[in-house]
Amino acid sequence: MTASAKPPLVVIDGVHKRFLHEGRSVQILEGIDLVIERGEMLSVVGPSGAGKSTLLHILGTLDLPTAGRILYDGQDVTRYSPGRLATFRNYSLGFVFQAHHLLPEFTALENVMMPGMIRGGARAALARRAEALLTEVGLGHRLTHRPGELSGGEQARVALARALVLEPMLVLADEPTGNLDSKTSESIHALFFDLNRRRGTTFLIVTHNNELADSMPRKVSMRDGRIESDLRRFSYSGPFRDGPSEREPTLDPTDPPG
Amino acid sequence: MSRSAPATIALWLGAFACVVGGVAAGVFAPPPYGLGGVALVLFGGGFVHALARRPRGGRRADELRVGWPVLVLCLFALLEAPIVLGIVLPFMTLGVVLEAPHLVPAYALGPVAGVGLLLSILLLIRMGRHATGTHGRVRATLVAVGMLLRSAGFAIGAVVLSLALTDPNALMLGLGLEERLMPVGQMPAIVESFRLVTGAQGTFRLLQVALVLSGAGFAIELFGCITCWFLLPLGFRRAFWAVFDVLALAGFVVVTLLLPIRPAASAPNEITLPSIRLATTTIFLIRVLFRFIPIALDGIEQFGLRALVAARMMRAKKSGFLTAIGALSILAVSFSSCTLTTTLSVMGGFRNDLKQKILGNNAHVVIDRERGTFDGWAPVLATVRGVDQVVAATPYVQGEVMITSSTNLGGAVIRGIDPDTIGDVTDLPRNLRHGQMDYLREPERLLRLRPAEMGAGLLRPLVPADDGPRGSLLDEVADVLDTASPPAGTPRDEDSERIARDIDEFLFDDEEAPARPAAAPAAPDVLPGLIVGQELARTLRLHVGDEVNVVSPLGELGPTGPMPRSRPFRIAGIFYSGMYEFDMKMAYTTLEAAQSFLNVGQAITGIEVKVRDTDRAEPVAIAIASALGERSLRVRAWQEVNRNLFGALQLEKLAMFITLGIAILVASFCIVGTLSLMVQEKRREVGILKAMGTTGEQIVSVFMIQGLMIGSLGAATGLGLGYLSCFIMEHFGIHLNPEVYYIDRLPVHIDPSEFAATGIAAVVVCLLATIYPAILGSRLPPLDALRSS
Repeated sequence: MTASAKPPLVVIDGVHKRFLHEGRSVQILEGIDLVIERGEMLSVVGPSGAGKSTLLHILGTLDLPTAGRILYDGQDVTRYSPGRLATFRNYSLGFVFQAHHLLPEFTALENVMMPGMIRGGARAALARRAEALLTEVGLGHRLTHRPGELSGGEQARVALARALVLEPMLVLADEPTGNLDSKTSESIHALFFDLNRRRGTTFLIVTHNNELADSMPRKVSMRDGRIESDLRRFSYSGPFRDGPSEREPTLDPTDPPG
Repeated sequence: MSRSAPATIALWLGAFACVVGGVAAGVFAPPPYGLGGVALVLFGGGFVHALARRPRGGRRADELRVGWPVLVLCLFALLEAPIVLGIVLPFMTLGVVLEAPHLVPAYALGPVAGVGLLLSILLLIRMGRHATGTHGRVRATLVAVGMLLRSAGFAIGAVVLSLALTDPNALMLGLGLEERLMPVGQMPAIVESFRLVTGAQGTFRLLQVALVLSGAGFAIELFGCITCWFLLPLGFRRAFWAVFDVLALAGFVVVTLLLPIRPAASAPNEITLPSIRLATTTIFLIRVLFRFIPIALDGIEQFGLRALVAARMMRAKKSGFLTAIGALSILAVSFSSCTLTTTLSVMGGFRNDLKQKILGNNAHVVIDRERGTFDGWAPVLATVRGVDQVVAATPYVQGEVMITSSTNLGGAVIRGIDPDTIGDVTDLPRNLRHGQMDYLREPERLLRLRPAEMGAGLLRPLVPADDGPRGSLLDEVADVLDTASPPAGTPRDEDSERIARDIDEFLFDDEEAPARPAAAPAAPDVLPGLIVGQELARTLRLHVGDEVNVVSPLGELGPTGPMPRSRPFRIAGIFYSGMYEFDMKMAYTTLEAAQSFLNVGQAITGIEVKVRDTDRAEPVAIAIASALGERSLRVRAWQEVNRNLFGALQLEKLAMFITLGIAILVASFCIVGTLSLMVQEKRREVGILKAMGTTGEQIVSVFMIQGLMIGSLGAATGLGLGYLSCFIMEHFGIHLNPEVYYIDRLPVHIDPSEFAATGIAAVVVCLLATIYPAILGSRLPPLDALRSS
């Protein structure tokens, strides 16, 4: 592991997740170790039930791991209080969900403004920013439409704009184009790459879409709660310049994941 | 479900029958039935319209496509058709019975209405099936059931009432003498008469059943119609309310400019015009409130994220049940705070009434000795008059006596007063119904009374109102005479006074003539004057100018012990204070006459003082006490004198506030339910908000603000309703039995601070009720919500 002035953006350290289902313990994640660097774009693929979404939720602090640590900038967020976690999510993370999860009572513009309003920003400044962002994703003409009046692709764009509005350090996307047609999906994917290139936003995208996964610089495959493979397609300007590697080095070599 | 040609023809005929029948009813029948006629026209028109629009070819032949105009017309007609059927049909028989042939054509429309009813039910079911889906079918069936129930109730009721009307005593039984003479505006008595007649005919139970049936039917129908209303297209509903609001605004302007706000003083019972104004204004204000709600929500949205999210959630389209329970919780808060304010206002009215009467008849501050009288009071009086805030002071002397007239005797408290200054302290001179204060000073004038001045103390009703108690035949006669005097409510003129007096003398002459001083042949003596209360005058049958004997138990010492002392007085006046105790017990004479009669020399019992501000009488009493500096004299303010009474009233009011406050508490349970349901429905939104970093505290606020909005809306409408009912009671009056309450109408005192307290209490209770569901909402795990999709 190369020493760096700054710790990696995210370090997932031996995360286990177990659910109690009808009295039986179900193991969802069995020791995940992953390091995500700033500006990376990685896709997480794997069959249904592999634990991709659970990993994303735990990474997004919406759920707590049964064991293990999540380090953001070297800080263990699993020890945060709920209030601090909420603030952390607001300041550091952006979510894009398959179902988009826009607030139905609010217009597209208000939906994009929402994270800023939760933070307590001035509405006028937020509105300007949200409008600019919506124009950027090609929705400048849909500002006052409610989610119900938008098409699936448009909703996905609004959700993306909402995830980006506060310039988070990490955007977590759970099958963002899962129920969109291929043409719309491609334009959204292009948007991801464009934003990564221009803003340096880090993306973690859980997807079933092989085309998308293959086009991403890094592809993490999961199976049965473990990481099956971790491939880097292209080199990038991060600390790891040695090209694609089969296994990400673990933080604690004495505890290699099974 | 295919319709045969004869059935189609029958339906067409029925529709035309409705139109023709409706027109005829509208033209011939008296107004209430005419309205039904108009409804029938609308219904028939709608039906024809529906038939004409029946699509041909391609579609199923039986499919009946109805547009929303038809739906509206039919709904309106449905409300009226049962009324027409229920009332017109039985009254047709009655029309023949009463031999009013010119009305028979109108009454004969009953069967037409019956056809209309049948058709409307058929159409409803059809519409429900084809035009509005399953929901519409259920709702339309609901309306149909309600209609059937109501028609049954009306029909039974009309038959029973028709039977009752055939009784010769109908409308007469249960009516007082005056009402029999002038049976106008006596609805309660007419209802009572029907009750008696149906009771005698053995149909009373049936009448009750009819009332219950029609009531239940009406409720069901109303509910069905309201739910059907929401099946109408949104555009139509918007247009309807726009037109309605314009009309309401126009109506409001017109009634505000043209109609009086309260009944004219000359005709306090003529409340039609003020009622119209009140109703129009109320409807207008309710609509304004409804129009204002979205604007208010827009305003609330500006107050930060929590208010924004809360307002949007309130506005969001919700499930039917949540909408219903939300409306219910607003209504519950509204009604409970309305009841609370109304009750408090009435109790405050009673308290105020009592206070006014006490303050009118008593001094604000009384200076006396624990026991006995005191001499040398002139300097004391001067000192008291010099105290700041003291308006007036007057001496009095008081003793317990018996008063005997020619027919009866009664215990009383005789009070010697200074006729010149008593008017500055109490309302006695203003409370005089007969006689004058001057007669106390110049008793010789009592011998030269004009008949009108004597007044018929006996014949006065208990309270100077139109409906006095009807205890005896005499009182009835008196009441008839009262009502017979030309302008009701004005003081009677000399003629009626004389008539009253004559009747009084005629009725009692035989046995009492020898005892009457007025009839005594010898020249009457000049006697000191005595002013008695109206009740005492009634009991003793006294008129102004009559002679009475006043007996004091404490006289001089005779050979066998204290001898009662007796002295004749002449009635100089009769007062009505409004307090039974006073009207029954008090007798006023001059200070000198009382002093010599009670044998106290120049001493007085005490000094009565009037202060500038009645509510600040206690500090003034303290100031007087310190100015006098004499320990033997007791200085008490009216609050202290009547402490027990007002303490009890206060306690009663507090108890009522708590009891009815519990009603608000119960209403707040409804809010708990509403918000819990809201939390369930908004799981997804809560999850999204939390994923974006909303804290639990923010979510709590969001739901608490929603509860606050429900509570505020409920409290606002409740206070408005409460004010409205208080206003109605205050200006239109609710009559009470004066024999029980000694006042003739329900007193109402609107105290803004009580309204404010109720409003604050309601809002606070609602806010407390929101805590549990709000915490429930804040604890929703975000994942559940996100996964649920």
